[in-house]
Amino acid sequence: MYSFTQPNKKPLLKEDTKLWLIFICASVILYISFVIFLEIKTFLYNKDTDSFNKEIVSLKQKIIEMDSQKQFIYKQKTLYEDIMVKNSLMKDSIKNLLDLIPDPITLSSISFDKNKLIIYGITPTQDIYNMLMLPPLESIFTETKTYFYQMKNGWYKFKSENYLKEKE
Amino acid sequence: MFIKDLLFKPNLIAFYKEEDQYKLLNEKYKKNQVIFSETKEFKNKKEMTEYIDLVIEDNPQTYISTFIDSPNQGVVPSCNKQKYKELGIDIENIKFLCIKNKYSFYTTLYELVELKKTYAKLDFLYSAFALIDFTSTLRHNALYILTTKEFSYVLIYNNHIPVFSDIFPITEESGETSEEEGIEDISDIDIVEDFDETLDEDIESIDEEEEEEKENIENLNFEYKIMEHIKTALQEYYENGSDFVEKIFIFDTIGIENNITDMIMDELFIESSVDKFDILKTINKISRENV
Repeated sequence: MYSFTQPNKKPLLKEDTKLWLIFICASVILYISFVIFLEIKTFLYNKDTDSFNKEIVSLKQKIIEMDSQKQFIYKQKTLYEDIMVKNSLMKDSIKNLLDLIPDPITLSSISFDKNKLIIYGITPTQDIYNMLMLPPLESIFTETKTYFYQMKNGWYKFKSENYLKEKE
Repeated sequence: MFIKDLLFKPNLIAFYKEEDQYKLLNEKYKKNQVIFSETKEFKNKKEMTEYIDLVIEDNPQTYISTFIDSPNQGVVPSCNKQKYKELGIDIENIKFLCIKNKYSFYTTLYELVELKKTYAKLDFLYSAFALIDFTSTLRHNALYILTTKEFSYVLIYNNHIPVFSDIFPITEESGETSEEEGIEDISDIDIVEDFDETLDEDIESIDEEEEEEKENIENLNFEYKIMEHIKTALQEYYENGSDFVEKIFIFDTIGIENNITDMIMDELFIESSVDKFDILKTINKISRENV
């Protein structure tokens, strides 16, 4: 209002102030960049830490699983050894048993089960069986049952059921 | 803009040329309070330009203003170009500034170009009448006269519109006055020579009295001139059958005696008042509204 002329355009800042501002801005930008860089690094480290923590948890879980597997394997091993011992014992027992079988008696079949031994065979007389065969069986097994069937020629077929009672 | 206003306080520099001196006022405002003010006087333009350059270097937000102190300006009680033609003003050679769509200030393009050439860093250029218009309080049947050492600017208001303006030179007439004063001085020296040289103190006191007397005569001369200007302006104004002026305001920048009001009352029967007028502060006040 009232002026015949329009004012000239005025710069807001002096030349040296501009220069200072440029330096200050550059410093602030550098500072902010460094802060951002540190923030990113921290974020990445935190992320890594999280992932490592998760890995630790997962590894601990795996260790637990492996421990349980180990326990299982130990048990299996024990069982295997037990079975091996039993088999060996059984093998020895059978060998001993077969060694004990007297000449007049002929075996037709033998079947083994866990605690049981069933023997099918032929004996000339019941007494031979009772005298020669029964005593070693009774010494091995806790219970022995024998069934005789007379054949046409006067000999006997027999079935011997022998049981081992497990200790409780 | 708010941040700009908050952070950057502009320097307002107002200046004008009075005879061979440049008067300058440099102010800085915070809200409505002056926080810095410096008044300077320079013997030549170069010194003033150097000072302005220093201020600009310190604060680029510096606005430089002045007013047109020449007869190449005026006021027209309309914004219509037709009115200018009616008044015989060549519209092609002037620039006019419409105020409130009611009246306008004008100056010649030559004056504008010259001032822009002389003061390259000038931001605001006001008409002398704009200073009166900005300060005027009573705007009905009132005559305002702004007196400077070179011109007196007369502005008459009717119905809130400046309807009449005129500019009267003072300098030329005061030149004649100085010649007269010169003659008086010679006679005064003759009188002084009559005194005994040993009475130096008495001579000095006499000299002082004479100087005061000269000043009084000069002032009286100014007052008569102002009276004449008022009378001439009123005569021209009344020629068009206008309303009577009821109050005269004298905006004084040269030290006019208050007895002029009695002279006006005796001769024109119009109530008047003399107010000290600070051109530089007024220019800055207007510039503050423009910044």
